[in-house]
Amino acid sequence: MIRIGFCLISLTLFIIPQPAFAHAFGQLYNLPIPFWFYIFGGATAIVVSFLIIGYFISRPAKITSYPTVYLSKFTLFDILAKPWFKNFLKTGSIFLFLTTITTGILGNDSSYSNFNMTFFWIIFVLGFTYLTAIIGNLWAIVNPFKILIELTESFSKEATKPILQYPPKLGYWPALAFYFIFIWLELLGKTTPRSLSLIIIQYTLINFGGVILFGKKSWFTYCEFFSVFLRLIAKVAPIEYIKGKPYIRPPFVGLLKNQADSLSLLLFILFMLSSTAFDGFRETVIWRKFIFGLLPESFLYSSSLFRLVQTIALALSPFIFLAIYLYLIGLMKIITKSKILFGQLSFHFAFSLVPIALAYNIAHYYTLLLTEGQNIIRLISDPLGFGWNLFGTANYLVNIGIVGANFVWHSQVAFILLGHIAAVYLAHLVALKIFPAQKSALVSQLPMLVLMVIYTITGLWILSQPLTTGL
Amino acid sequence: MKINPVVYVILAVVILVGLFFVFNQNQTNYQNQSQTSILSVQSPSPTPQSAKTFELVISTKKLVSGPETIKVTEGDEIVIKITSDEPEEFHIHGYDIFVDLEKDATKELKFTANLTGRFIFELEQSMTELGAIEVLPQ
Repeated sequence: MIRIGFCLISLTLFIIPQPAFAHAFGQLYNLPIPFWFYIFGGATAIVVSFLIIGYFISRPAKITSYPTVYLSKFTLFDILAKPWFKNFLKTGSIFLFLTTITTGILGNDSSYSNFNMTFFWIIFVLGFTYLTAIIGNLWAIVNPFKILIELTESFSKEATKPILQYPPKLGYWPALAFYFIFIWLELLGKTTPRSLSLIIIQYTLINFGGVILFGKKSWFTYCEFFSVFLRLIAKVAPIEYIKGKPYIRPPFVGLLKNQADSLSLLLFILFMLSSTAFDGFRETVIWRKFIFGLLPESFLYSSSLFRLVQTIALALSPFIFLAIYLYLIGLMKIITKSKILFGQLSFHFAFSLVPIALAYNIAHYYTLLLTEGQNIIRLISDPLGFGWNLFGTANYLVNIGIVGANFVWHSQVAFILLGHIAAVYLAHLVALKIFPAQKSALVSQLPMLVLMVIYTITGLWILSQPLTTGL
Repeated sequence: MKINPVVYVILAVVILVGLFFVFNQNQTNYQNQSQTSILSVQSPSPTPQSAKTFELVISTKKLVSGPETIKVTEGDEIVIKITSDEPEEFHIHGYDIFVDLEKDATKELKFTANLTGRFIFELEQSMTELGAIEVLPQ
């Protein structure tokens, strides 16, 4: 308990406001998407959504369950299940984890000269997330916090007994709180190699404290941010693991296996959406005009006050999306005259939002992985920024022309549409499951359709807005 | 009425492709319109016909004159004339061009916009962003 208190206090001590650098780590070179792309995207989203409804209307009434989940079952590379391979992955993970921390503390404190910033913010936060969306919950194996805790457990030769039973009402609120802090650090925190290492160390200590308090299972299920986040992302993957063996399944069906069970998880998913939306929106001309109109200029030219304004906006963002969501769920309840409780109804459809959240994230950030991600090639040769050249790649020049603006525009719209289509389809399947009559199931989907079209068009709209350089 | 689900997939693809071509036509027309308006803004100085010139004046680390967003097309020759009231380093991201600025002297920067995208330019030493160059694809 004392340890946790210490951890939390030391967390606040280390987040010292840095001088006002206008940009988060990593330069995005994306142009706003042309107006016509935006209109095309929106129109397509609407048209395709209605086609999906039409498809469901035409299905025979007696099919009320979703399609049998697994397209084909064949074991993919049994090697992945082998214990020695898992140990290999765990060792790799700890190695990268320790390298990330060490390079930040001992190495050059300039963000583009140090291995840890690019590795953590680009390769891990973006790359590993997208990898998880393809191959499933790899984090369950390579989670370095968990590995370290299990290592210490093996030394003490007895299992750590949790001090407290995890209170069910606490739900996923701790994970959500950590998520907020994480996004704040990413967008407003101006981390440097050194501060990043210190934050990771603190988070490690918090993890230890949390496990002592609540036990490993509860902590990593409800409280550890990356575990919760990546477990959600893994649900879209076309690969799942049964008894450790990989099986292929259609993408996105993992979201149907169970459902959200708390407001904190619903908000977590909505924050996935809103944090990306906020990041895109805060660079637009409209946002700047709104803020300058609302607050006195002297207030805004103070970087710490402007950062406070942005922090408040970030904190409010998921609630804006929540309000729209709950309004339309309410409409759904009224239209269908359903006896399902309002709260339960809102939980049923929560997971169908994950494809939209993932699509937002990919559309907004994937180019960073392609351009800034290339820096890792030179950084592995000179991780500390001391002028080394371990593998001969230290002079690698990043090719930022790897994708041109045209390709980026097309791909961004494509990802967002794909996310939208997956979400609409999933929501239909959920409706067919929970509403007794097929007619009410279909009718229930009209408000859901409106909701998803709103989210999708908002995403496209943000991408199309003229940008300005921030303060 | 039972309709084969495949019909919906075909219908979706046809509509998507159709819409795409319709909007692509409009986009090409729109781009052609905006291009002619950019070309009409030319500097009278003796620079090659295809070059686009922009003048930026920086004072107390702020852009006091000149466009915050410089819009050009891929392949354009760009000339940027920068005047600053204090010594600093002018940096264009992406292209990674650096120019040393001196007090009350005008520096000229020339390059070809062969990369498409949005590239922020800033004062490197104080890390102040001033604006961006937007290079539209052809």
